[in-house]
Amino acid sequence: MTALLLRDLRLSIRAGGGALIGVLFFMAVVAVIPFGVGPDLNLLSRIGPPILWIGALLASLLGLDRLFQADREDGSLDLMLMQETPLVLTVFVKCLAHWLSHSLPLVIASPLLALFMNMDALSVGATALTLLVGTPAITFIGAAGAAVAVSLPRGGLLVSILVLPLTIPVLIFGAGAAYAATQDPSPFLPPFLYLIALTLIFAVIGPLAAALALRASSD
Amino acid sequence: MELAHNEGYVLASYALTLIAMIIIIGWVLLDSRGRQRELKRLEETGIRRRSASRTAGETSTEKTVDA
Amino acid sequence: MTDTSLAIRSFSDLANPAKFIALAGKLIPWMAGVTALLFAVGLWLSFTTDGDYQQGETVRIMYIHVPAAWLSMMCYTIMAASAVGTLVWRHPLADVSARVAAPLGAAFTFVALVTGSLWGKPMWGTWWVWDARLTSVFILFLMYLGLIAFNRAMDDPSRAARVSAVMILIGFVNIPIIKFSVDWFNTLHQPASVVRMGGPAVDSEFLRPLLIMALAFTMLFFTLHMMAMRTEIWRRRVAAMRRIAARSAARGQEG
Repeated sequence: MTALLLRDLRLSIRAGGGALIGVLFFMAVVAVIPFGVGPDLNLLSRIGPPILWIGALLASLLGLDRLFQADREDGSLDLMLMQETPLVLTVFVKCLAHWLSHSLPLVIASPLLALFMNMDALSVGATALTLLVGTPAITFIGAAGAAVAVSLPRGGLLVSILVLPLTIPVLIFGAGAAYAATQDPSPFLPPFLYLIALTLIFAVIGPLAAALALRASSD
Repeated sequence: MELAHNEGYVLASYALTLIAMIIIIGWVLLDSRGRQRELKRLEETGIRRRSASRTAGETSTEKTVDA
Repeated sequence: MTDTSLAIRSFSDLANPAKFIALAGKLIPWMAGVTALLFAVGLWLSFTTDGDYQQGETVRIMYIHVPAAWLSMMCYTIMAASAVGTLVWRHPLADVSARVAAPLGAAFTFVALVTGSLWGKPMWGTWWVWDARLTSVFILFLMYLGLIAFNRAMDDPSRAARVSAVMILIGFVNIPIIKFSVDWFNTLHQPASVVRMGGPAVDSEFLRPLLIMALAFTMLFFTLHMMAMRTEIWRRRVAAMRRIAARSAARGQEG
C-alpha cells in the first residue's frame, strides 16, 4: 500500500501530473473574483471564505477524473482489479495520494490567496482549517464519480456534473464554518464537526462505491 | 393579498405544468410508436430474433433480446 | 451472465421481457383511463375549493407543486429500488426501469421547481428563494440531469446498467445528507420573516384536492413508466435485430 501511495504521489507531481494545474486554477478563480465583484474591501472580506471554498471545490472537481484515468490508460487499473488486496483499500490509498498531491497544495495556497480577498488572520485560519478537513470529503466522494465515468471517452466533464450535487453539503458546512468563525452569532463548532463527520462518512462510502463501480464497469 | 394579481401566477403554473405534461406524454407516445414501427419493419424483412429462430452460435451480446 | 433463475420467485415472470410487454399492453390502457379520471376530479376540486384566507388564490399552486415534489422523490426512490434490483438480483428489467425513470423524474422535478418559483413570487416577492425545500429539489434536479447525461454517454446497456445503478445508489444515500445540510444552511441564513408553505395547518378542505392530484400524478408516472419500459425493451430488440441483420449481411457477402 505504501508503494502504491508513493507511486501515485510521484506520478502526480511530475509534469503531466496535474497537481500544479489544480493550484493554478484555484488561483485563477480567486484572482478573477475581485474583477467581477468590484474592489470593495469590505465586501471581499465578507465573501472571501466562501469564494476560497468554491475555488477549492472547482479545482478539486477538475482534477478528479485523473484519479483513475491515467491508470486505465496504461493498464495498471486492470492490475489493481486483479490484486488480492481489497479494491476498497486500493481506492482509499489512491484517494489519499490524490488528496496529498492535489488538495493539500490548495490548502497551503489558501492563506496566500486570502490576501487578495482582504481576509483577516482569524478568517484565514478558519478557512484553511475547514479546507484541510473538508477537501478529503470532496476527494472521497469524487472518487466514486471518477470510477463511474472512468470508461467514458469524455468522462472528465461528466465526473464534475455527477459529483457536484454530492459535494454541496461539504461546501455548505465548510463555507458555513469558515464564515461563522468571524461572525459572532454563528458558532464555529457545529458546522465544523458536521464537516468532519462528512469526511468520515465519505471516506467509507466513496471508496466502497468506487470499488463497486470499477468492478461493474470492467465486467 | 391582491387576488386578481395572483391569479396570473396560478394560471401560469397550471399552464406550464400542462405544457410540461404534454411534452413528456407526447415524447413517451412518439418514442413508443417509433420503436413499434421499427420493430414491425424489421420483422417484415424476415430477421428472426434468437428465441424465435433458436439458431446456435449467437453471441452473448444478444442476451438483451431474450424474449 | 444474466441468470434469471437467481431472481426471486415472485419476480420470475416479470423478468421475462415478453411477458412484461404482454402485461404492459393489457394494463396501460386501464392505467391511462384511471389517470385521466383522477386528473379530471382533481382539477375540478382544485378550482372549486375556496382559496386560503392567508394566501388567497395562490394556494391552488400547492395542488401541483406539492405532488410534483413528492413525485420527484418517489421516482428517485423507484430508481434506487431498481438499482438494488440490478446489483443484488441482476433482475433483467431493473435497469430498464431505472433508465426510463430518469427523464420522467427530471420532468416532475422541473415542474416542482417552476411551480415553486411561481408560488414564491407572490408569497415572498422574489422568483427564487433558497429555502430548504426548493434548494433540495434543485439539487435533486441536478442529480437527475447528471444521470440522464451518464445514461446517454454509455452505449453498452449491460455494462451501463450496473455502473448506472451504483451512481443512482450513491445519490440516494446522499439525499438525507443533502437535506440535512440544506436545512442547516437555511437555519443559518434565515430570512427575517418565516413563511411556512401551505399555511399553519393543512385544512381538510385543502387536503382533498391535494391528495387527489397527488394520486393523479402518481398514476400518470406509473403509466408513463410502463410505456417507457416497453419502449426501451423494443429499442433493445431493434438494436439486436439490426446487429443480426448486419452480421448475416456480412456473412452473405463472404459466402
